[in-house]
Amino acid sequence: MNWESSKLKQYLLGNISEEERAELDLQLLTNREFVTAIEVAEDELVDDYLDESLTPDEMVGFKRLFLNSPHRVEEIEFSRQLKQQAKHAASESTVDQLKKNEEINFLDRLKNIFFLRSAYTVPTLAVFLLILLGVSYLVWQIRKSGNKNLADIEVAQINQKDLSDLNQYAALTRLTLLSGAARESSDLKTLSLKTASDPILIRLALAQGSTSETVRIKFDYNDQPFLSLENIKTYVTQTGREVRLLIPLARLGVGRYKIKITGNESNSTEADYIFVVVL
Amino acid sequence: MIISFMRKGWSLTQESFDLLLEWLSPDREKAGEIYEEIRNRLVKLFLIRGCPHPEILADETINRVTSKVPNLIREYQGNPAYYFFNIAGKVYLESISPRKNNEEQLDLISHKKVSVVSSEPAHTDIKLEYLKGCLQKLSAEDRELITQYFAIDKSEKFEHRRALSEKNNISLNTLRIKVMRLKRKLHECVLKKLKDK
Repeated sequence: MNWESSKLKQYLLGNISEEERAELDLQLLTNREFVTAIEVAEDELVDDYLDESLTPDEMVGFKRLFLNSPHRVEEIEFSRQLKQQAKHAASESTVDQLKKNEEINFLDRLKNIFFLRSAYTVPTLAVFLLILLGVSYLVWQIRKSGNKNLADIEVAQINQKDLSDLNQYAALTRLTLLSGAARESSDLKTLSLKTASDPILIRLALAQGSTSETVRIKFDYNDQPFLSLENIKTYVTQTGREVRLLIPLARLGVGRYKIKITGNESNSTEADYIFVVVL
Repeated sequence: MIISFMRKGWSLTQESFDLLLEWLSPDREKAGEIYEEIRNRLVKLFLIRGCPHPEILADETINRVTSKVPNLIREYQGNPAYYFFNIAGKVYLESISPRKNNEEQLDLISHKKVSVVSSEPAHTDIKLEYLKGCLQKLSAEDRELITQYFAIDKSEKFEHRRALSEKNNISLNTLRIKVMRLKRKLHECVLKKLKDK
């Protein structure tokens, strides 16, 4: 579900009807995605305040609900310091870059290297060749994988490992999911970004009687296509077969994930798995 | 005034707290996580409502719910969060009546320019030093991202941030979420350093 940023802004400023406010209050207590959306909206509102870009009406609400709270005032002060520090760091970076440009005449250096006038010629050409080979390999991978993006390729490559021996991955955070996971929110498996390892290990138990040795996997994130993997190996367990996946933690965000598995055989059935990622 | 409406004649015991956790989930560890999440959200709710003591009101809400758990555990069906929501509404309404007097006083000074009250200069300098230190603890990539995000402000910031999201191959909303998380991380780092000091 998407919430318009303008609506969230007015909610934070107390400029909506009591009925709408109650509805959003309830979302705050029951909907994880809404909590993230509100936290982003709070940051944006504070940023607008510090930029002095709030309208007079918005300032009335901001003074009443933000500047009246010691907790909020402290957050605003922190935000102000962060902005100052960011601007300072950015300007330092620009100055450094300008200095470098003045010191080095890049074209002259390039000429010296390629016309064999410099001691750096051989190593530079060697690096150039390596980069060229790397790019060629990458292009070949992309073409081989069809429409897959680089992130999918990265995850697919990580999962080419043999995951038979789970003891090797004992230190990783594990998420073990059954298909058709319970719809009650309290039964949903959750993963915390703060405490999870990188990568995480997901184990998906296949339906009893499944004989697929490889499967296709599709991840949806908040009902949007997220990741697609082909020819993922399955592993035999005491109770049947399961899929094992290593997923880099950086690929995951707060929200709801749905995994759909399809066997590679034409008559195979699909299975759904659901988990939720929280902060 | 805050305390005047709080529940009298009932106090939270370990036994009643254990029962609350049991109601939230049979898995105690998970129940603890759910409890923390609900409490944090209640604090956020009261903060958004403009309550100057959101933690107190959140705890009062939890205490009232806990006192009802012996009945709830038998009779209530559904997500416990909805019950907390109903009680929080009542706690909020009870809390605002005394605040109306304070708001009238605020109206008298509303014509004055209200600026963020900074702490003493020395304390501000310390916080700034801690912030610089905490920024260095981020990965180079994260540090660059958050620095670039806030480097441009006012009317140019929207286009700048859109360009930054495209440069990082993520949507603008994803960028905002990433920056929000990094900012929270930095803030927690600074607060921890202040506490340790």
